[in-house]
Amino acid sequence: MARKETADKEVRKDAKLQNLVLRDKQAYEDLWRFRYPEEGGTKLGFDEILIEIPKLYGFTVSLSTLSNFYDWFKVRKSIDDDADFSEQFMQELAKKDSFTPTQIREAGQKLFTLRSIRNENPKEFRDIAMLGQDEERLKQNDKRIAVSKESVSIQERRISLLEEKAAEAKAKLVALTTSGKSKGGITPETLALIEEAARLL
Amino acid sequence: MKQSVPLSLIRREVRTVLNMRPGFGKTEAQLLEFSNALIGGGISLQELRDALEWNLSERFIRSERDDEANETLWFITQSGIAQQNIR
Repeated sequence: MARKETADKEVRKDAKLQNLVLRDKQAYEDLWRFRYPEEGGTKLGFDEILIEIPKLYGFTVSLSTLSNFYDWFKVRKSIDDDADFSEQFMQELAKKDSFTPTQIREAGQKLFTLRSIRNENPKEFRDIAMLGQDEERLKQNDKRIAVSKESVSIQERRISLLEEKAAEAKAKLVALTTSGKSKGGITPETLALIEEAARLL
Repeated sequence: MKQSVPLSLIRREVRTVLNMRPGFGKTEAQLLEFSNALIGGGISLQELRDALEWNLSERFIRSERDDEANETLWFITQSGIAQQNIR
């Protein structure tokens, strides 16, 4: 579908119609019915609506403005329908004493979100679901990486400890061979120390 | 060839959608659907997320995490509403 360049203009020419439907409930209903009539009604073309608007509301609009307005109006109506339904539900809940205002608000929000799913573009929804799965996969990968990092850290600590012990053993050996007690022979005590040092190295 | 949608337009239309019944938070999926409907299609999920991030950095919008539904809900802020009124 081609993008509508007119939507990017700084001054929105459709503001008149938007403002009209936001403040006048009857205009809201009428303008909606023009394009989306109830069963048995006649759908009006843009050219016919362009004639109706000055008669009903006293101002004129261009065809592109009207087209942009109805793009906006479709979104607005969809959100309004879901929001109205949720608000009615919230009002019903509020009549009962068993719910706190926070619970009511949360329930209304959930209903609003759930209702929107029925209108969802299936492809986009699938893409988002896939993306959710990808994110889950990424989270799992992150966990795996964290575990690996922990394992490497433990290994590093172990090596560091071994190096310390080796240095300690080496120092003991050096002390033995240079001490005045050493008289040329190897005592059983010295031998045990050498063996211990050898194990550590 | 895919026609790219100006980022400034996506940023604004995201706010336009959030400004409709601002008391209700909107999900990413809703924003993608409705923003595309306003613009006439062509917005990718990544472009939407970029627009959300920008609006968030400008404090025009805020988010709430719904852990139970595993969804992030987006709301327009007062600054965002004021920004929408500047034409």
